[in-house]
Amino acid sequence: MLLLGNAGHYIRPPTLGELYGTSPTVRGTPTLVAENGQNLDAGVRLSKEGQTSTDLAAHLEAFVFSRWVNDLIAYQRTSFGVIRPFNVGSARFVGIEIATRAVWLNHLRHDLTVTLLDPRDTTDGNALTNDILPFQSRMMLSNRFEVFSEPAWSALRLDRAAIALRLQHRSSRFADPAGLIVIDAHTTFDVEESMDFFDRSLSVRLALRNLFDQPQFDTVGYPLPARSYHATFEAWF
Amino acid sequence: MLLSKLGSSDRKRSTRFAKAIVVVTSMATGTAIATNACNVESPEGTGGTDVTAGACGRGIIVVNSDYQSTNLSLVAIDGTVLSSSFLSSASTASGLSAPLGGDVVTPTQWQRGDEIVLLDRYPASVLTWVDVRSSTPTGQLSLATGFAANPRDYLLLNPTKAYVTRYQPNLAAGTGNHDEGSDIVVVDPLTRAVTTRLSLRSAMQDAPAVYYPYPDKMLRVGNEVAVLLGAYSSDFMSSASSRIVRIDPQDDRILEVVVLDGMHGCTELALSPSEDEIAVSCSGEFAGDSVATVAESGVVLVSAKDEWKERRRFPAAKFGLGPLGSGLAYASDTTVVFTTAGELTEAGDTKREDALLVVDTDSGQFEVALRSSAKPFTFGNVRCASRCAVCFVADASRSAGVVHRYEVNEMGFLGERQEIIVDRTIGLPPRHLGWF
Repeated sequence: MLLLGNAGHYIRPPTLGELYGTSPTVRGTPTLVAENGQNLDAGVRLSKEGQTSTDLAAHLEAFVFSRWVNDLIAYQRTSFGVIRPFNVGSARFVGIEIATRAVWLNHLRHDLTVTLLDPRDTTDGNALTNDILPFQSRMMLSNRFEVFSEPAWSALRLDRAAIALRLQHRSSRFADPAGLIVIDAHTTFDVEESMDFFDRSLSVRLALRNLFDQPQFDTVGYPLPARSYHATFEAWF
Repeated sequence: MLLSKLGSSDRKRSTRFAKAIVVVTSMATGTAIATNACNVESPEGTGGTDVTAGACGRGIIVVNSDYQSTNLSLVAIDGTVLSSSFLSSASTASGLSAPLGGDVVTPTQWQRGDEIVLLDRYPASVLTWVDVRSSTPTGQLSLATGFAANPRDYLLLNPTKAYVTRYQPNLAAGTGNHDEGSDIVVVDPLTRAVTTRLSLRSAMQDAPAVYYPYPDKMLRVGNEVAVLLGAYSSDFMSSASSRIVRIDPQDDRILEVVVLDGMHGCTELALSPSEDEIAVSCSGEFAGDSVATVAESGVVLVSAKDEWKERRRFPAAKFGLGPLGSGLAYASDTTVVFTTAGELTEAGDTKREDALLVVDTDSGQFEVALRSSAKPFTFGNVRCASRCAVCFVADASRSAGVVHRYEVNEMGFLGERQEIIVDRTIGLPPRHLGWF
């Protein structure tokens, strides 16, 4: 078991994209000022290895974090149908992040990451009833279950073969400071397959993203592609 | 291989497996609970009103907005808040196929029926009819016809006919019906459909071809209609004199064009209580800047008796408070209430506040009734009901957003002021006012 902690002060200048835009729909704001704040994190890391390779091995990380920010760089929609960054007078983030991994029987693996977040606009004189910051989901979750074999098939020089099912969830979020426009929550399932050959110098990966063709949205609320197929080939030498 | 290992598991491993299953199941259950708990929800609306119309109608519709989302409130003539969240951008569950955007206005005309009409201007270009009593949307009509048409005003002529001005020209027209833009479309409110369009290009004959007509506010003047036209190049970098177009709604024919020589960027129109004079407010020329030119800004009075012609003008320079803003109304037959727009320094600090003024149209005497409290560009619409001797002014800065209710004195100037916080549900500042 390991206990960890961190306290700090940071300054984050706006990026070029935030200053001058990155696309016709994501505009820049040249008058942005640097964000600054204090952060405080504390957490625990636990690991348990099995006595043999087939025993249950587990790993857990749990952290609580908080951040107090002045001039937070956040995004908002404009009446022209584009989004643009702006400085929030002051903001406060409090959250928990949990990551677990379990491997059992040398063939089953489970990874779970969850982030719970409470993002609040704490600007003095803010008259809005809603103080939850726009475009910030209060929960993000990734849950992956994998069946693997390692080594898989020595005759083919196949070092590792795996197939996995991944669930990703993002809770609903506001698209405006007043909290009137809601970007719906979305949950997607992906199927992933990977094979590593020749001492892992050659990899083939296939993925079917968004298996059930659910509507999904990016960080700022624009729609993302529906069901999609991906193939990757990597060679290391 | 896996199955063979499962088959050889001993009791100890089975216990660990069971523990692992319990942990994973607990996490999944916790996840499911947290999933619902972490979603966000918009506030509920506060419904409509069944208040009956008096001599000055039922009251005012207040459009509260931060230009991203909108909340509408209803306020009675005496200043009582009838509904703080009549309809908002959150109202998707109540029948809106297109939720309200951040650029919503109400018609200039009084809306005395059971429904009120909202104009979601740019880029949505949607008309929405809403039942006053239940606050339920009863219909929507897109006026985009292939481009962001930017509808600016709605004028009901009879139960089956209404005019809607479309501000934006369509530079790639020709792919659909009624897709030219920069026009008036005739709408049937019963069928919620566009029936025809009225081109206003002929009203620009005196101006170079580079300038398009940008039709804005409308008023019913007797049996005729007055339409205010801005005249801009398609990139808004230059402008020509604005004008009023006089239209016969019986046959949708342009009767007359009154060019307001030297006045640019005219955006507001008001009718005198005796209905024989029109006031026009002109902001001046922006030419790509955030501050308009004072020389082309002012208030123009146009006689609306037999022959429409300019009677008098009050250039913005006379008041020394910058170009005119977006508020204009007759407090009486001889006094006009209007706003001027402030200015920011390059650093974003206030250089000049917005101001609310009243001018006596006979003597030219004027007084400043109010200035914006902190930031400029926060005074919105002005609405006056001379019959009830009352005026309302939207102020987005004072006390985080209020509507001022003024008693109008016997001289037609603004008297006692009351600050009304209309949006206690969501907290958006008031920008625009309309009668209902």
